[in-house]
Parts: sequence; C-alpha cells; structure tokens
Amino acid sequence: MRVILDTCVLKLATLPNPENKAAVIWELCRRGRFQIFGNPDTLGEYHRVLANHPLFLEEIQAAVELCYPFFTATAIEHEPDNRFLEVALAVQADYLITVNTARGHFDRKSYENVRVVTPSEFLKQREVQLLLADI
Amino acid sequence: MVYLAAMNVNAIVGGKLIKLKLSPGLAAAWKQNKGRHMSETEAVRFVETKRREHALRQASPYLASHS
Repeated sequence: MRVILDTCVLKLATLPNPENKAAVIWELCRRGRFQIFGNPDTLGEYHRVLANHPLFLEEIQAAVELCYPFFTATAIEHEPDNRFLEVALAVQADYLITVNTARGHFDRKSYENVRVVTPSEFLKQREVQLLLADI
Repeated sequence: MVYLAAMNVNAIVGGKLIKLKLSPGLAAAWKQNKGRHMSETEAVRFVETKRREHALRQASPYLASHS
C-alpha cells in the first residue's frame, strides 16, 4: 500500500494522547506495513514543521521513499498542497492522509485513483484493519 | 515510570484494543510535548504559518531589492 502523509498529520502525531490516530498511522508505517512517499519539497516541509523533534525527523527521513515528479499539479487551489498531490499521482498512491479537507485544500474525495482520507477514515479501511490485526 | 507506561498508542480493531509501542523518535516528541494539546484545525494553522514564513524567507531578496 502506498501512502502520502500531509504534514499536519505528522504534526498531530507528536502530541501525547493514547488515542492519537496519526501516531497509530506512523507506527504502522514504521513497522513497514505500508510505504510512505515524498519529494524534496514535502520532506523540506516536514523538516520546517517538525524542526524541534530531530529524532522523529530522522525516523521520518529513513521511512520516506523519495520520488521526483516530472510534472506540476494544479488541481488544488491552495498551491503548496499540490506538492503532496504531485507525489501521490507520481507514485500512484492508494491514500493521501490529511486533516485539511477544507474548501480550496484537499477538498475532493479522490484525485484520479488517490483517495483522500482523514486519519480516522484511514484506520477504518478494511485493508488497514487487517494490517492492525496482524501486529 | 508512570510516564513510560504512557508511551503507547491504542488502536481498536474489531472491538479489540491493540497497544502499539511508540518509536524512540515519537516517544521523545511526546515527552517534549507533554501537556500540550492541538486540534486538527490548529495543526493545519501551524503548518500554514510555517509555509508562510518559508515563503517570505524565499521572497526576501526580491522584496529587499524592490523596496
């Protein structure tokens, strides 16, 4: 399974709460249950937003598979969000996980075959439930 | 010791509770953020603020030369 994590999801993962769904997603990823992808722009944003968590950033950097899309997406009104969409489309991701589904951001249910889901929706997917049950 | 016990995150699968131990990096982040809360909206706003700061830094040579 191929997944793109919006930066706000990783930011939410850093907040202590045993019910933290973003943290569950990260732990699944770290255990190699699915692949996460990024490009230099999205990785750069992770670094800027999570600059005060260097150890977590190291883990993210080790987990993210880099890609270099040869096209520019313009489907999203809020321009910076297009960098994540470019990665998702380039690697034919299954899911783009975000909490930013407001108008002008990731406001569609899908972009081509990439499904846009919140962390909560992602964890409810049957294939994800199977991965969790397998841990 | 009490805090170490909290270094797990829970997931419910088919009505069953599953506890996942946090990675060292995320455990360190949780320790650092102890007592902090952030809603999804606040997280989005936080990221947008960082994006704006980055954009302004990138634009600063242009802005400086045109002021």
